[in-house]
Amino acid sequence: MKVDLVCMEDGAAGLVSDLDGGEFFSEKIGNMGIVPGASIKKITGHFMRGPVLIKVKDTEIAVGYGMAKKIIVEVD
Amino acid sequence: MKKILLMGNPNVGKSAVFSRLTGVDVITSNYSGTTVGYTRGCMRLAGEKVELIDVPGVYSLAAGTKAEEVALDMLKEGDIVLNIVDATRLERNLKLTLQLISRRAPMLVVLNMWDETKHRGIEIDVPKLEEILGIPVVAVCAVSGEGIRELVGRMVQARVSGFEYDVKDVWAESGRIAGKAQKFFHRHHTFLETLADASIRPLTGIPIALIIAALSFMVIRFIGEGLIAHIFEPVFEKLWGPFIVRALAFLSPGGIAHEILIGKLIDGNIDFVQSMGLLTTGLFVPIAMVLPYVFSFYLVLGFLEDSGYLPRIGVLSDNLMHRVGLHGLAIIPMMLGLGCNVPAAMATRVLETRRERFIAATLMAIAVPCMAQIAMIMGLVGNYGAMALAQVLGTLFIVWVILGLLQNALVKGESPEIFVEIPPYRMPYMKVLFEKVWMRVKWFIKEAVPFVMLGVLAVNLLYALGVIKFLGKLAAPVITGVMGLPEETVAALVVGFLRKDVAVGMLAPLGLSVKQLVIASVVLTMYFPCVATFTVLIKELGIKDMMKSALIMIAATLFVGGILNLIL
Repeated sequence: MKVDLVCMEDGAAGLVSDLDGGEFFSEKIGNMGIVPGASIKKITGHFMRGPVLIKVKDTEIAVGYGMAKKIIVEVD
Repeated sequence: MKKILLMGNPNVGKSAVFSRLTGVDVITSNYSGTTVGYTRGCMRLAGEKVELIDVPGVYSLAAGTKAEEVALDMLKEGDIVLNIVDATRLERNLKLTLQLISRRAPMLVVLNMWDETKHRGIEIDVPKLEEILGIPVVAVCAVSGEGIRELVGRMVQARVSGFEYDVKDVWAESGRIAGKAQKFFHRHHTFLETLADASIRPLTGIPIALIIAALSFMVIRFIGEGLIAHIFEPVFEKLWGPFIVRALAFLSPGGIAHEILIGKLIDGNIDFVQSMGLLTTGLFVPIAMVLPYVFSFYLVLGFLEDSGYLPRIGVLSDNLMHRVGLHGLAIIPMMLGLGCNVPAAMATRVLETRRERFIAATLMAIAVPCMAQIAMIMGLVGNYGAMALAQVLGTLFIVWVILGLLQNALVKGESPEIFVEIPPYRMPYMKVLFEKVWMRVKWFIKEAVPFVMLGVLAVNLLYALGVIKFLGKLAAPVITGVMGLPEETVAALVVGFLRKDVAVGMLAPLGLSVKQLVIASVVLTMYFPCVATFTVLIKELGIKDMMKSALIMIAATLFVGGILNLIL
């Protein structure tokens, strides 16, 4: 099942499948290891369109709401 | 002179390694973006003097962001690259290592935070990594100094690696190398990791943040007040006061020298706050009233910085910060501003766009009083109870929010979203923490105390020359008419440009009512930044934007001063 990071459940894990943004966006988040095929875990979201906290390659990263909407994950 | 560059991802401890190698004091913290400028230092390498450059952290050499562009430029100048790598995050750090390798830079890999690999269940085979990469790899722990000696010994072996890989697939290659050189062991969740989880989830994180804020305030107040009441005040009252009275007994009260050095006697005695002499108020204000608070503030801030808590407040407040056109990380310059507005103005560089930097710098300069000023406000307004103090700080908070909302609606440009690595919690190294506090306190003594003395001198001169009286008459319609303050307050506004703490102190002899004290404290915070902050802001924002920002400050001050005069 494919969902974006915002809709993904807290604690769920999967593989990054698509990046729904331009080249600059893919480059920016790719630098932190968020590339298609990377395994990713959602730790928690925040209310009122707050950031989503994820774990990729042993590192916790806070991703802004709008950016999180553009990261599509194939959930395990 | 040979140039050695320290390069690596953000928050891998480049500055800690730099300070170990050069002995140059630099501020280090446990979050990305502490180093915003380039620090240069020197060391001896095989009998030769070489220059070390601490380059701000980057994730990639792709020249996407400004930091990356500058890092690329630096790379052309450097003779050797020390690639600092977080040993607990080998795979993600190797990406930059591989990019550096393909740039054919003579280099050496430094596996920092080596001590942490053990309790994280990671084992790295250093010789194996060295063999794969074809360059020296040294494991160190920069905060404790372990491995630094070996690093210095092996720096001469830095060389260009012959390692070849498919540049299109750097991540896969980093994964392969990490897989070969690193093993994981099973281990249980540590207490710090459980705490890390709890402090970033909204339901538990927000109460934890409130508790930490309240605790920080209590600790700062307890240590600050304690030092003042038990050490600094007694020293001034019982030792320094009697000493200068005796030493300067030959000066006649009322004479010019007496006036400048000791100042006015109140009921025949020195009053350290009100006398306004260089050796009385000029020393008492910075040392006995402000310094204890500066010390206790930086002790608490240093602990929060080194533990890795600050970016978590950024995440928790991100949704609210969006309303003022910023993202969560902009909370960091605001918190630094509570210590001193100067480093806070520089810290706005962590924000990407001009719009964000403008909004953040303006809000910080208008509504965030520095610790020197807070200490004086506590000393003066605090005498009238917590309510008066709450009125001052509450007004400033409301001003921050309203001006933020307005700027978000009116300032053109883009505000990108938060996107940041959250560091793991680390137990602060007490030695490093105290060195950092000492660095900041030393900076305060060296930079602030002379300015306070200058401020006190200026007060005397301006009064003697009649300038204050003249300006007072000139400004009376606004100061008295709009804000309900006596004409003499103008003197504080003039001196506030030099030092805001002295300016607040100058309110003491004016015999103001509580209401007037509250208004004057708010006005003194908002109307204009002190000269040190002003200079840095011009550098950071440019003259034109600084002028815009200054106009906002003056207009907001008139408005808020007038409103307070009506409603209090």
